[in-house]
Parts: sequence; C-alpha cells; structure tokens
Amino acid sequence: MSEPTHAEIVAKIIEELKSLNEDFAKVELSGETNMTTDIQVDSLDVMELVFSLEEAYDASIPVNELSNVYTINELAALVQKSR
Amino acid sequence: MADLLDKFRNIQKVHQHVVGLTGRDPLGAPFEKMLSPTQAVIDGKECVLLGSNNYLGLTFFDEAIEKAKTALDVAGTGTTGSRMANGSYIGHKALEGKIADFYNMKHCLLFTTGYQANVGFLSAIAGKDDYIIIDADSHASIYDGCKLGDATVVRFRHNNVADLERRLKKLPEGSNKLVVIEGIYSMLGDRAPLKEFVRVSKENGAYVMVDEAHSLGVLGENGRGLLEEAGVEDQVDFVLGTFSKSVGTIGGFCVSNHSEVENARFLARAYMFTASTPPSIVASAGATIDHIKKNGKELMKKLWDNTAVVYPALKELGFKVGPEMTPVIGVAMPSLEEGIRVWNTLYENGVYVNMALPPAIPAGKCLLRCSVSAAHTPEQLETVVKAFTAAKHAAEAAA
Repeated sequence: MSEPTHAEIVAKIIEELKSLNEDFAKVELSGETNMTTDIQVDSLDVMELVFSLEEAYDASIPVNELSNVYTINELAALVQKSR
Repeated sequence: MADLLDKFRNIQKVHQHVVGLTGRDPLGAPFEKMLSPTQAVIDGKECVLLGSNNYLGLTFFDEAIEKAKTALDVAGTGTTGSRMANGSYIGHKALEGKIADFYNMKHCLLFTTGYQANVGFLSAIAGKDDYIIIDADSHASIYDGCKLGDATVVRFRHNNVADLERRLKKLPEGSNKLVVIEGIYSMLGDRAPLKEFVRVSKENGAYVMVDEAHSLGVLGENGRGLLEEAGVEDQVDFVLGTFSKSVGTIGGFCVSNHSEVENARFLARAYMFTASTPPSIVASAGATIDHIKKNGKELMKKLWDNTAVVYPALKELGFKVGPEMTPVIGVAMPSLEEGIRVWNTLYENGVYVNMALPPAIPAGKCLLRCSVSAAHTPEQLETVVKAFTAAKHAAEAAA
C-alpha cells in the first residue's frame, strides 16, 4: 500500500465518524473539528474509529497517545506516525 | 470555562434520568437483608440474586464464617497499615502459600482487592520502553494499571488472535512485551481463545498474564480457571485473581513461577501504600480456598448445571445473550429505556440483575448482566425464567 496522504486520512476519519453515529452525519466535519468538544465522540466510538483506521492503514496506535489527540488533524497525524 | 464540579453535575443528570425512568435506583439498589447467598430483601422485596458474581455460593460457608470470627477475636479488625510498614501477619504468608499451592506455582503476592492486584502489578512490571498489549474488552482495573505505569499500551480487537499477532509483529524486535488476557470476560461472559493467544505471544517473545477473576472456581477440572481448561498452565507467566467472586470475600493475588515477582512488593504502589488484608478476610479466604480444593468439582458441576438452565432459556425467549454459555450471562438491551423496563419487570417478578451502562460495557446502550450461582435452587431458577418470560411478554405488549 502506498503512503496515504494526510488529507486522505482526514477524509477517511470523517467518513468513519459519519458511519459511526448518525448525529455526526448531520454536521460539517473538517480537520479542525475537535472530536471532544465539537462533536463529543464517546470513548467507545473512539475505540471503534481507531480500530477501523488501524485496519485501513495497517497501523497500531498506542492507547496512551490517544489522550493527547483532540482534532481530526491530530488523529490523522498519529495514524501516519503509527504505520 | 467549565466549573470543576461540572463533571459530577453531568453524571448526576444521567443518574437522575435513570432513576426517574426506573422509579428506583438500579445502580444503587438497597439490600436490606441477605437471606442466603442467592436471596435478599431489596427495597422491601424478596429477590433471587442473579447479579452477584457469587458463582459457587460460598458467602455463607460456615467454616469461613467461624474462622473469620476467630481471627477477629485473636488478631482484631484490621492491620491498620501496609505490609511494608506494619509487617506481615502469619495469616498473610500462610494464605499466599495456600494460593500458590492451589495454582501449583511457587510465588504469590496478596493484594487487598482484585482491582488493586491488576493496578499494582501492571504498573509495577512494565515501564518506559516496555509494551503492554491488552484486549479491548479488558476490565477497568487493567486499563487503570496501564495508565498508572509508563509502558506503551497497545489494544487489540476483543478475542482476535490475528489482530494480536499483527500488533505483536509491529513492535520493536527485542522489546519487552506483556500480553494481558482475561479468562471469562466480565460483561459478555465469553472465554478468551487462550491457547492460541499464548502461542502467538510466545512466538513473538511476549510474557503472558491471565486475569482469572471470573474463572477461578468456574473453569478447569480443579477450578484453576481458563489456563487449566486450556492446558497452558506451564506457559502462562502470571495469573491474577480475586477473592471477591467464587471465594466469596474480598482480596486479590498474583501467582507466578518467576521468583523476581516477589520484588513487586517494593514496586507496586497499590501493594505498598494501602492497608493489607484484614485477618478475618484472610481467614475466610483461606477456609474457602481449602473448601474449593476439596469440593470444587461438585460445586462447579452444580454451577454449570444451573447455567445450562438459565442461558438456553433466555436465548430461547429471544434475549440477546453473550456468544457462549458460561455463568456470566450478559443480556444486551437495544436502548437504555428498554433496559430499564426489563430490569424493572425482573425486579417486580422477584429477580435482581446488574444493570451496566457505557463505558463499563463493550458495546451497546445497556447490558443486563446476570451471574448464575451453584447455590441457586431449582425453584429460584424457575423464578428467574418466569421473570424473563414476563419481561418478554411486557416488551411484546409495549411494541
């Protein structure tokens, strides 16, 4: 698999979020969206989102590093780093 | 900026919502009188306890009660400090020997609770540059132990051997790795595919820890849990367990054949900085472990016979139960409101079960967690099945 770009991962995260929760499909999401304060993604949704991204990009993201992730851009950067 | 107390206010709103919908508090039910290991008066109503974790029904085991009473007379109500500071009572050392002997292992460390065993051991064993690899459905004490330490924590999909293997292969070659598995998972009641987990862990140079909290006295010919049932006792490095389920009291332990584990006493903060197990608890746990050694097979047969009544009946009624038949039966509810309605109907029909809400449950909105006991009588099991049948009819009427 070729190296995914940051923008591709951001788009994938937005797609996954919208499929996880119908409320997220109703709002505009971007790389700047804060997943904690803007759309309040709960811990179970985060876990499922991370599993999906790890499988899509053959990544393994340490749980400890997720506590510093708030925006979709930050999560995309972490996925790239964890491949 | 949010006020410091807003976190409490927010959770208070959720709690009040649940109490408002239920008409009583399923998250804090008042147990007014214990009638037996499987029967209690709850909020004025006599109920069969189907949410107690009392798998072998030994909370009223007469010998354990007698020995606890004697220990109270002889050694007092508590140790008033940690073993580091206040020393080890003879009973502490004797119980450690008894548990090590039960598991055929050389070393045992007692902790004051099972929660503290996981938190203390995990935070002590793995440090910076080490890796702990955990199942996504791990108990909160495993997550908390990881959070307290400095290791990098990697999470794999629940009970997924291929995902564990993929992640192990991504870790730096030669790094220290500890794979953490549970015997029976506490919410859905499913077993880990332990033999396969152990194989891929060992192939990738990882140590293996198994938390047998819900499988001690439940699985294995002698009640030693999933590692005995799976035939991997000689390959598992650390076994963590609790006295608060099958052993009917409170306390935790870690057993191992690695002599270095003894030094966790000087590293595990949950061992060092809390009061040690009171003498009466030590005495009752010891008596009950002896009883399980002698009579465990008979008790486990009753437990599984009872499970074979409840699990198929609930499944037959159309309830969404866990994937396999064990004494831990998680019944998934489609919504919080439906969960509350079923919980209420069960209570009104004389059956108490646990209500679990996110984030304590792996998926879904609400789980009614049932646990079968060897001490349930045929009449009590009939009450249980009748209560679930009433809940089903109520759901059909409401639809």
